[in-house]
Amino acid sequence: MGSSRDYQAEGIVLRHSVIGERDKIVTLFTPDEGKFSAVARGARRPGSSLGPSVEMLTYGRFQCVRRRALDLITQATILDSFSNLKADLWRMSCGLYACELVDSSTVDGAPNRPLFEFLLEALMEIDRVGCDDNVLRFFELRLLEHIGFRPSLGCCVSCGSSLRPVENSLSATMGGALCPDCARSCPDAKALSVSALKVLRFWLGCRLDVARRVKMGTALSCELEEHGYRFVRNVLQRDIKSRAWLVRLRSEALLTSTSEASTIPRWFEAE
Amino acid sequence: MSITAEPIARLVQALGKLPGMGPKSAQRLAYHLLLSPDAEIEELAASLLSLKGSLVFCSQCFNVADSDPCSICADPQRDRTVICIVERPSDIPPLERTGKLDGLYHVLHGCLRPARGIGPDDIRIRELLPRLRSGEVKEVILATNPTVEGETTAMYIRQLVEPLGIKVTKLARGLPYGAELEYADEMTLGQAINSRQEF
Ligand SMILES: [Zn+2]
Ligand SMILES: [Zn+2]
Repeated sequence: MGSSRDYQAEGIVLRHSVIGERDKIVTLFTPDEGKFSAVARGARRPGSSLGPSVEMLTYGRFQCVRRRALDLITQATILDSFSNLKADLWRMSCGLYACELVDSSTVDGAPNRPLFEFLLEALMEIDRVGCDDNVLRFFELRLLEHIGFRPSLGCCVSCGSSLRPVENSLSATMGGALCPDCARSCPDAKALSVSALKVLRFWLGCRLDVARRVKMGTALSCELEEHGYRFVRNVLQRDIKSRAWLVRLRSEALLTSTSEASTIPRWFEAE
Repeated sequence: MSITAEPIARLVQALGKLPGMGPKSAQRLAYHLLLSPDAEIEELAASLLSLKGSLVFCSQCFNVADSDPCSICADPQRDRTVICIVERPSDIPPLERTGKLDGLYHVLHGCLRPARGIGPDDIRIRELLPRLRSGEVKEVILATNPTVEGETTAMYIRQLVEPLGIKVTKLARGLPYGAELEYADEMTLGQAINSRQEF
Protein backbone atom coordinates (compact mmCIF):
# COMPACT_ATOMS: atom_id res chain seq x y z
CA MET A 1 0.00 0.00 0.00
CA GLY A 2 1.76 3.20 1.17
CA SER A 3 2.99 5.57 -1.51
CA SER A 4 5.14 8.68 -1.31
CA ARG A 5 1.94 10.63 -0.73
CA ASP A 6 1.37 8.87 2.60
CA TYR A 7 3.01 10.17 5.71
CA GLN A 8 2.65 9.93 9.43
CA ALA A 9 2.75 12.81 11.88
CA GLU A 10 2.52 12.99 15.63
CA GLY A 11 0.93 16.17 16.77
CA ILE A 12 -1.41 18.16 18.94
CA VAL A 13 -4.78 19.36 17.65
CA LEU A 14 -4.74 23.15 18.09
CA ARG A 15 -8.15 23.89 16.61
CA HIS A 16 -10.63 22.76 14.04
CA SER A 17 -13.44 24.10 11.96
CA VAL A 18 -16.32 22.36 10.29
CA ILE A 19 -16.65 21.74 6.59
CA GLY A 20 -19.52 20.06 4.81
CA GLU A 21 -21.99 18.08 6.84
CA ARG A 22 -19.71 15.69 8.64
CA ASP A 23 -16.14 16.74 8.06
CA LYS A 24 -13.65 18.80 9.98
CA ILE A 25 -10.61 20.81 9.00
CA VAL A 26 -8.10 20.06 11.72
CA THR A 27 -5.09 22.22 12.52
CA LEU A 28 -2.25 20.13 13.87
CA PHE A 29 1.00 21.23 15.44
CA THR A 30 3.70 18.64 14.85
CA PRO A 31 7.43 18.56 15.60
CA ASP A 32 8.61 17.77 12.06
CA GLU A 33 6.01 19.34 9.77
CA GLY A 34 5.22 22.34 11.94
CA LYS A 35 1.65 23.55 11.85
CA PHE A 36 -0.66 22.39 9.08
CA SER A 37 -4.32 21.81 8.42
CA ALA A 38 -5.85 18.64 7.08
CA VAL A 39 -9.32 17.31 6.42
CA ALA A 40 -10.80 14.61 8.67
CA ARG A 41 -13.70 13.14 6.74
CA GLY A 42 -16.74 12.06 8.73
CA ALA A 43 -15.17 13.21 12.00
CA ARG A 44 -18.36 14.87 13.24
CA ARG A 45 -20.44 11.73 12.90
CA PRO A 46 -20.98 9.87 16.17
CA GLY A 47 -19.04 6.64 16.05
CA SER A 48 -16.48 7.97 13.56
CA SER A 49 -13.14 6.35 14.30
CA LEU A 50 -11.43 9.68 13.57
CA GLY A 51 -13.74 11.84 15.68
CA PRO A 52 -12.15 11.53 19.13
CA SER A 53 -8.58 11.84 17.83
CA VAL A 54 -9.12 15.09 15.96
CA GLU A 55 -10.81 16.91 18.84
CA MET A 56 -9.00 19.94 20.22
CA LEU A 57 -6.43 19.33 22.95
CA THR A 58 -5.56 15.84 21.76
CA TYR A 59 -2.10 14.45 21.14
CA GLY A 60 -2.19 11.80 18.49
CA ARG A 61 -0.48 9.98 15.68
CA PHE A 62 -2.04 10.87 12.36
CA GLN A 63 -1.85 8.95 9.12
CA CYS A 64 -2.12 11.50 6.31
CA VAL A 65 -2.23 11.62 2.54
CA ARG A 66 -0.74 14.55 0.68
CA ARG A 67 -3.10 16.19 -1.76
CA ARG A 68 -2.98 19.24 -3.96
CA ALA A 69 -5.39 21.09 -1.69
CA LEU A 70 -5.59 20.23 2.01
CA ASP A 71 -4.07 16.92 3.06
CA LEU A 72 -6.36 14.18 4.25
CA ILE A 73 -6.21 12.44 7.63
CA THR A 74 -7.04 8.81 7.00
CA GLN A 75 -6.33 7.22 10.36
CA ALA A 76 -5.47 8.41 13.82
CA THR A 77 -4.42 7.00 17.15
CA ILE A 78 -4.70 8.93 20.39
CA LEU A 79 -1.40 9.16 22.27
CA ASP A 80 -2.78 11.34 25.05
CA SER A 81 -6.29 12.76 25.32
CA PHE A 82 -5.46 14.75 28.50
CA SER A 83 -8.59 13.41 30.14
CA ASN A 84 -8.00 15.07 33.54
CA LEU A 85 -7.48 18.39 31.85
CA LYS A 86 -10.73 17.94 29.95
CA ALA A 87 -12.65 17.03 33.09
CA ASP A 88 -12.04 20.41 34.69
CA LEU A 89 -13.33 23.73 33.36
CA TRP A 90 -10.36 25.77 34.51
CA ARG A 91 -7.70 23.33 33.32
CA MET A 92 -9.36 22.91 29.96
CA SER A 93 -9.62 26.67 29.53
CA CYS A 94 -5.92 27.03 30.35
CA GLY A 95 -5.15 24.32 27.79
CA LEU A 96 -7.14 26.22 25.17
CA TYR A 97 -5.23 29.38 26.05
CA ALA A 98 -1.90 27.59 25.60
CA CYS A 99 -3.02 26.22 22.23
CA GLU A 100 -4.25 29.60 21.06
CA LEU A 101 -0.93 31.16 22.04
CA VAL A 102 0.98 28.54 20.06
CA ASP A 103 -1.43 28.85 17.14
CA SER A 104 -1.05 32.64 17.09
CA SER A 105 2.72 32.53 17.25
CA THR A 106 3.36 29.99 14.48
CA VAL A 107 2.89 29.93 10.73
CA ASP A 108 2.03 26.93 8.60
CA GLY A 109 4.83 24.58 7.62
CA ALA A 110 7.57 25.98 9.87
CA PRO A 111 8.74 23.21 12.21
CA ASN A 112 9.67 24.21 15.76
CA ARG A 113 10.40 21.05 17.72
CA PRO A 114 11.34 22.78 20.99
CA LEU A 115 8.06 24.68 20.95
CA PHE A 116 6.15 21.49 20.22
CA GLU A 117 7.84 19.68 23.10
CA PHE A 118 7.21 22.64 25.35
CA LEU A 119 3.48 22.68 24.55
CA LEU A 120 3.21 18.93 25.05
CA GLU A 121 5.01 19.12 28.37
CA ALA A 122 2.78 21.98 29.52
CA LEU A 123 -0.43 20.15 28.59
CA MET A 124 0.80 17.03 30.37
CA GLU A 125 1.65 19.06 33.45
CA ILE A 126 -1.76 20.77 33.45
CA ASP A 127 -3.40 17.37 32.97
CA ARG A 128 -1.43 15.78 35.79
CA VAL A 129 -1.15 18.55 38.39
CA GLY A 130 -3.36 21.45 37.31
CA CYS A 131 -2.80 25.01 36.25
CA ASP A 132 -2.18 28.07 38.36
CA ASP A 133 -0.95 31.56 37.54
CA ASN A 134 2.69 30.47 37.70
CA VAL A 135 2.08 27.93 34.98
CA LEU A 136 0.34 30.47 32.74
CA ARG A 137 3.05 33.11 33.22
CA PHE A 138 5.85 30.59 32.75
CA PHE A 139 4.17 29.37 29.58
CA GLU A 140 3.96 32.89 28.13
CA LEU A 141 7.57 33.66 29.00
CA ARG A 142 9.07 30.51 27.55
CA LEU A 143 6.79 30.61 24.52
CA LEU A 144 8.35 33.99 23.72
CA GLU A 145 11.76 32.37 24.02
CA HIS A 146 10.81 29.49 21.73
CA ILE A 147 9.64 31.85 18.99
CA GLY A 148 12.79 33.96 19.19
CA PHE A 149 11.66 36.75 21.50
CA ARG A 150 13.34 35.77 24.76
CA PRO A 151 13.13 38.86 26.97
CA SER A 152 16.59 40.21 27.67
CA LEU A 153 16.96 40.44 31.44
CA GLY A 154 20.71 40.32 31.99
CA CYS A 155 21.50 44.02 31.72
CA CYS A 156 19.82 47.18 30.45
CA VAL A 157 18.77 46.61 26.82
CA SER A 158 19.42 50.26 26.04
CA CYS A 159 22.77 51.23 27.61
CA GLY A 160 24.07 47.76 28.53
CA SER A 161 24.84 48.65 32.14
CA SER A 162 24.20 45.91 34.66
CA LEU A 163 20.92 46.19 36.52
CA ARG A 164 21.14 47.19 40.17
CA PRO A 165 18.76 45.75 42.76
CA VAL A 166 16.40 48.72 42.55
CA GLU A 167 13.11 49.18 40.72
CA ASN A 168 14.03 48.85 37.06
CA SER A 169 11.65 48.76 34.10
CA LEU A 170 10.53 46.38 31.42
CA SER A 171 9.80 47.46 27.85
CA ALA A 172 7.96 45.17 25.46
CA THR A 173 9.03 47.13 22.39
CA MET A 174 12.70 47.15 23.49
CA GLY A 175 12.44 43.46 24.32
CA GLY A 176 13.76 43.51 27.86
CA ALA A 177 14.74 45.26 31.06
CA LEU A 178 15.79 48.91 31.28
CA CYS A 179 17.78 50.72 33.96
CA PRO A 180 15.98 53.65 35.67
CA ASP A 181 17.90 56.21 33.58
CA CYS A 182 17.04 54.70 30.20
CA ALA A 183 13.45 53.97 31.30
CA ARG A 184 12.75 57.71 31.45
CA SER A 185 13.11 58.06 27.68
CA CYS A 186 11.23 54.88 26.79
CA PRO A 187 7.47 55.41 26.37
CA ASP A 188 6.35 51.83 27.06
CA ALA A 189 8.65 51.18 30.02
CA LYS A 190 6.70 49.76 32.94
CA ALA A 191 8.05 49.40 36.46
CA LEU A 192 9.72 46.07 37.14
CA SER A 193 10.17 45.20 40.79
CA VAL A 194 13.28 43.48 42.08
CA SER A 195 11.26 40.35 42.91
CA ALA A 196 9.61 40.24 39.49
CA LEU A 197 13.01 40.48 37.76
CA LYS A 198 14.31 37.71 40.01
CA VAL A 199 11.38 35.41 39.22
CA LEU A 200 11.58 36.05 35.46
CA ARG A 201 15.32 35.34 35.44
CA PHE A 202 14.77 32.17 37.43
CA TRP A 203 11.97 31.03 35.11
CA LEU A 204 14.14 31.53 32.02
CA GLY A 205 16.45 28.86 33.36
CA CYS A 206 14.23 26.23 34.95
CA ARG A 207 11.64 23.66 34.06
CA LEU A 208 7.87 24.00 34.44
CA ASP A 209 7.59 21.63 37.39
CA VAL A 210 10.16 23.73 39.26
CA ALA A 211 8.77 27.07 38.07
CA ARG A 212 5.35 26.35 39.46
CA ARG A 213 6.71 25.96 42.99
CA VAL A 214 7.71 29.63 43.25
CA LYS A 215 5.63 31.18 46.04
CA MET A 216 4.43 34.70 45.47
CA GLY A 217 1.86 37.16 46.74
CA THR A 218 -0.98 38.77 44.83
CA ALA A 219 0.88 41.98 43.98
CA LEU A 220 3.83 40.18 42.41
CA SER A 221 1.58 37.76 40.60
CA CYS A 222 -0.42 40.65 39.13
CA GLU A 223 2.74 42.47 38.11
CA LEU A 224 4.03 39.41 36.26
CA GLU A 225 0.68 38.93 34.59
CA GLU A 226 0.70 42.47 33.24
CA HIS A 227 4.28 42.27 32.00
CA GLY A 228 3.72 38.85 30.47
CA TYR A 229 0.66 39.78 28.51
CA ARG A 230 2.08 43.11 27.35
CA PHE A 231 5.07 41.24 25.95
CA VAL A 232 2.94 38.60 24.27
CA ARG A 233 0.60 41.24 22.86
CA ASN A 234 3.51 43.24 21.51
CA VAL A 235 5.22 40.29 19.86
CA LEU A 236 2.12 38.63 18.42
CA GLN A 237 0.46 41.94 17.53
CA ARG A 238 -2.96 40.60 18.42
CA ASP A 239 -5.20 39.76 21.33
CA ILE A 240 -5.41 36.21 22.57
CA LYS A 241 -9.15 35.72 22.69
CA SER A 242 -9.27 32.95 25.27
CA ARG A 243 -7.53 35.22 27.76
CA ALA A 244 -10.76 37.18 28.23
CA TRP A 245 -12.40 33.86 29.04
CA LEU A 246 -9.77 33.02 31.67
CA VAL A 247 -10.19 36.45 33.26
CA ARG A 248 -13.96 36.00 33.34
CA LEU A 249 -13.79 32.49 34.76
CA ARG A 250 -11.47 33.65 37.47
CA SER A 251 -13.63 36.56 38.53
CA GLU A 252 -16.78 34.43 38.50
CA ALA A 253 -15.08 31.64 40.36
CA LEU A 254 -14.22 34.21 43.00
CA LEU A 255 -17.82 35.36 43.20
CA THR A 256 -19.37 31.92 43.39
CA SER A 257 -16.41 30.29 45.16
CA THR A 258 -16.85 27.00 43.32
CA SER A 259 -14.26 24.27 43.25
CA GLU A 260 -12.58 25.64 40.12
CA ALA A 261 -11.41 28.67 42.05
CA SER A 262 -9.32 26.46 44.28
CA THR A 263 -6.84 25.97 41.46
CA ILE A 264 -5.95 29.65 41.63
CA PRO A 265 -3.95 30.33 44.75
CA ARG A 266 -3.80 34.10 44.31
CA TRP A 267 -7.51 34.45 44.91
CA PHE A 268 -7.11 32.53 48.11
CA GLU A 269 -4.64 35.09 49.31
CA ALA A 270 -6.88 37.93 48.18
CA GLU A 271 -9.70 36.78 50.45
CA MET B 1 -16.99 38.73 -19.34
CA SER B 2 -18.84 35.76 -17.89
CA ILE B 3 -19.72 32.52 -19.63
CA THR B 4 -22.48 31.80 -17.10
CA ALA B 5 -25.91 33.38 -17.56
CA GLU B 6 -26.49 36.04 -14.92
CA PRO B 7 -29.47 34.35 -13.09
CA ILE B 8 -27.43 31.16 -12.69
CA ALA B 9 -24.37 33.01 -11.50
CA ARG B 10 -26.52 34.81 -8.97
CA LEU B 11 -28.05 31.57 -7.69
CA VAL B 12 -24.65 29.86 -7.50
CA GLN B 13 -23.35 32.76 -5.48
CA ALA B 14 -26.31 32.67 -3.10
CA LEU B 15 -26.13 28.90 -2.63
CA GLY B 16 -22.36 29.12 -2.12
CA LYS B 17 -22.95 31.12 1.05
CA LEU B 18 -24.77 28.21 2.70
CA PRO B 19 -22.80 26.27 5.31
CA GLY B 20 -21.04 23.23 3.93
CA MET B 21 -21.58 24.31 0.33
CA GLY B 22 -18.52 24.68 -1.86
CA PRO B 23 -18.57 26.43 -5.25
CA LYS B 24 -18.75 23.12 -7.12
CA SER B 25 -21.72 21.79 -5.13
CA ALA B 26 -23.43 25.17 -5.46
CA GLN B 27 -23.08 24.99 -9.22
CA ARG B 28 -24.30 21.40 -9.35
CA LEU B 29 -27.34 22.32 -7.26
CA ALA B 30 -28.09 25.38 -9.37
CA TYR B 31 -28.19 23.31 -12.55
CA HIS B 32 -30.26 20.68 -10.80
CA LEU B 33 -32.82 23.34 -9.87
CA LEU B 34 -32.78 24.68 -13.41
CA LEU B 35 -33.93 21.32 -14.70
CA SER B 36 -36.52 20.73 -11.94
CA PRO B 37 -40.28 21.00 -12.61
CA ASP B 38 -41.77 24.48 -12.14
CA ALA B 39 -44.04 23.32 -9.32
CA GLU B 40 -41.08 22.12 -7.25
CA ILE B 41 -39.22 25.37 -7.74
CA GLU B 42 -42.29 27.36 -6.73
CA GLU B 43 -42.73 25.28 -3.60
CA LEU B 44 -39.05 25.78 -2.72
CA ALA B 45 -39.23 29.53 -3.30
CA ALA B 46 -42.42 29.82 -1.26
CA SER B 47 -41.00 27.83 1.65
CA LEU B 48 -37.86 29.98 1.64
CA LEU B 49 -39.93 33.15 1.70
CA SER B 50 -42.15 31.95 4.55
CA LEU B 51 -39.14 30.80 6.56
CA LYS B 52 -38.21 34.21 7.88
CA GLY B 53 -41.70 35.66 7.85
CA SER B 54 -43.50 33.14 10.02
CA LEU B 55 -40.81 31.78 12.34
CA VAL B 56 -40.12 33.24 15.75
CA PHE B 57 -37.93 32.45 18.71
CA CYS B 58 -39.86 30.93 21.58
CA SER B 59 -39.41 33.46 24.37
CA GLN B 60 -39.11 30.65 26.94
CA CYS B 61 -36.82 28.06 25.41
CA PHE B 62 -35.46 29.99 22.38
CA ASN B 63 -36.32 27.20 20.00
CA VAL B 64 -37.28 28.38 16.52
CA ALA B 65 -41.00 27.85 16.21
CA ASP B 66 -44.07 29.05 14.38
CA SER B 67 -45.62 30.33 17.60
CA ASP B 68 -44.50 31.85 20.87
CA PRO B 69 -44.44 29.95 23.18
CA CYS B 70 -43.46 27.01 21.00
CA SER B 71 -45.57 23.86 20.88
CA ILE B 72 -43.33 22.12 23.43
CA CYS B 73 -43.43 24.94 25.97
CA ALA B 74 -47.18 25.36 25.43
CA ASP B 75 -47.92 21.67 25.93
CA PRO B 76 -49.49 21.17 29.42
CA GLN B 77 -48.51 17.48 29.32
CA ARG B 78 -44.77 18.23 29.40
CA ASP B 79 -42.85 17.86 32.64
CA ARG B 80 -41.94 21.39 33.74
CA THR B 81 -39.47 20.23 36.35
CA VAL B 82 -36.93 19.11 33.75
CA ILE B 83 -35.05 21.32 31.28
CA CYS B 84 -32.76 19.82 28.67
CA ILE B 85 -30.09 22.19 27.36
CA VAL B 86 -29.02 21.90 23.73
CA GLU B 87 -26.69 23.90 21.50
CA ARG B 88 -28.95 24.23 18.45
CA PRO B 89 -32.64 24.01 17.53
CA SER B 90 -31.72 21.13 15.21
CA ASP B 91 -30.62 19.10 18.25
CA ILE B 92 -34.23 18.92 19.50
CA PRO B 93 -35.85 16.70 16.83
CA PRO B 94 -33.44 13.77 17.33
CA LEU B 95 -33.92 13.98 21.12
CA GLU B 96 -37.70 14.12 20.67
CA ARG B 97 -37.62 11.09 18.39
CA THR B 98 -36.19 8.98 21.22
CA GLY B 99 -39.43 9.53 23.11
CA LYS B 100 -37.40 9.48 26.33
CA LEU B 101 -37.58 13.14 27.25
CA ASP B 102 -40.85 14.73 28.21
CA GLY B 103 -39.52 17.87 29.85
CA LEU B 104 -38.78 21.26 28.33
CA TYR B 105 -35.75 22.48 26.39
CA HIS B 106 -33.44 25.44 26.40
CA VAL B 107 -31.61 26.29 23.18
CA LEU B 108 -28.29 28.06 23.64
CA HIS B 109 -27.76 28.91 19.96
CA GLY B 110 -24.13 27.94 20.04
CA CYS B 111 -21.54 26.96 22.58
CA LEU B 112 -18.68 28.66 24.37
CA ARG B 113 -15.69 28.99 22.07
CA PRO B 114 -12.97 30.75 24.06
CA ALA B 115 -10.42 30.88 21.23
CA ARG B 116 -12.97 32.49 18.91
CA GLY B 117 -14.00 35.03 21.51
CA ILE B 118 -17.47 33.54 21.95
CA GLY B 119 -18.36 33.82 25.62
CA PRO B 120 -21.45 33.42 27.82
CA ASP B 121 -22.89 36.76 26.68
CA ASP B 122 -22.85 35.68 23.04
CA ILE B 123 -25.14 32.69 23.51
CA ARG B 124 -28.37 32.29 25.46
CA ILE B 125 -26.96 31.29 28.83
CA ARG B 126 -28.12 34.32 30.78
CA GLU B 127 -31.71 33.63 29.68
CA LEU B 128 -31.59 30.25 31.39
CA LEU B 129 -31.23 31.61 34.91
CA PRO B 130 -34.68 33.25 35.31
CA ARG B 131 -36.22 29.96 34.20
CA LEU B 132 -34.36 28.15 36.95
CA ARG B 133 -35.06 30.63 39.71
CA SER B 134 -38.81 30.02 39.53
CA GLY B 135 -38.26 27.02 41.81
CA GLU B 136 -40.21 24.70 39.57
CA VAL B 137 -37.20 23.12 37.89
CA LYS B 138 -35.67 20.10 39.65
CA GLU B 139 -33.30 18.80 37.00
CA VAL B 140 -31.19 20.28 34.23
CA ILE B 141 -30.01 17.82 31.59
CA LEU B 142 -26.92 18.97 29.70
CA ALA B 143 -27.09 17.76 26.11
CA THR B 144 -24.31 19.84 24.58
CA ASN B 145 -22.03 18.18 22.04
CA PRO B 146 -19.29 15.87 23.37
CA THR B 147 -16.58 18.20 22.10
CA VAL B 148 -14.09 20.39 23.94
CA GLU B 149 -16.28 23.43 23.36
CA GLY B 150 -19.51 21.60 24.19
CA GLU B 151 -17.96 20.27 27.40
CA THR B 152 -16.64 23.73 28.29
CA THR B 153 -20.19 25.00 27.93
CA ALA B 154 -21.62 22.13 29.98
CA MET B 155 -19.12 22.58 32.81
CA TYR B 156 -19.70 26.32 32.88
CA ILE B 157 -23.47 25.88 33.10
CA ARG B 158 -23.04 23.30 35.83
CA GLN B 159 -21.09 25.89 37.78
CA LEU B 160 -23.99 28.33 37.44
CA VAL B 161 -26.78 25.86 38.15
CA GLU B 162 -25.45 23.79 41.03
CA PRO B 163 -25.52 26.61 43.60
CA LEU B 164 -29.26 26.88 42.94
CA GLY B 165 -29.72 23.41 44.39
CA ILE B 166 -30.92 21.94 41.10
CA LYS B 167 -29.79 18.47 40.04
CA VAL B 168 -27.50 18.62 36.99
CA THR B 169 -27.16 15.60 34.74
CA LYS B 170 -25.34 15.12 31.46
CA LEU B 171 -26.01 12.75 28.59
CA ALA B 172 -23.75 9.70 28.98
CA ARG B 173 -20.83 9.54 26.59
CA GLY B 174 -20.92 5.86 25.87
CA LEU B 175 -19.98 3.45 23.16
CA PRO B 176 -21.93 3.95 19.96
CA TYR B 177 -24.27 1.11 19.06
CA GLY B 178 -22.57 -1.35 16.75
CA ALA B 179 -19.06 -0.31 17.77
CA GLU B 180 -16.41 -2.80 18.79
CA LEU B 181 -14.68 -2.32 22.12
CA GLU B 182 -11.25 -2.99 20.67
CA TYR B 183 -11.47 0.10 18.48
CA ALA B 184 -12.88 2.48 21.06
CA ASP B 185 -10.67 5.39 22.02
CA GLU B 186 -9.52 5.85 25.59
CA MET B 187 -11.67 8.94 26.19
CA THR B 188 -14.94 7.29 25.09
CA LEU B 189 -14.13 4.05 26.87
CA GLY B 190 -13.23 5.89 30.08
CA GLN B 191 -16.50 7.79 30.02
CA ALA B 192 -18.43 4.63 29.22
CA ILE B 193 -16.87 2.98 32.28
CA ASN B 194 -17.71 5.98 34.45
CA SER B 195 -21.33 6.00 33.35
CA ARG B 196 -21.85 2.22 33.55
CA GLN B 197 -25.22 1.06 34.83
CA GLU B 198 -26.59 -1.90 36.69
CA PHE B 199 -27.57 -4.57 34.18
ZN1 LIG C 1 20.21 51.79 30.67
ZN1 LIG D 1 -40.35 26.93 23.79
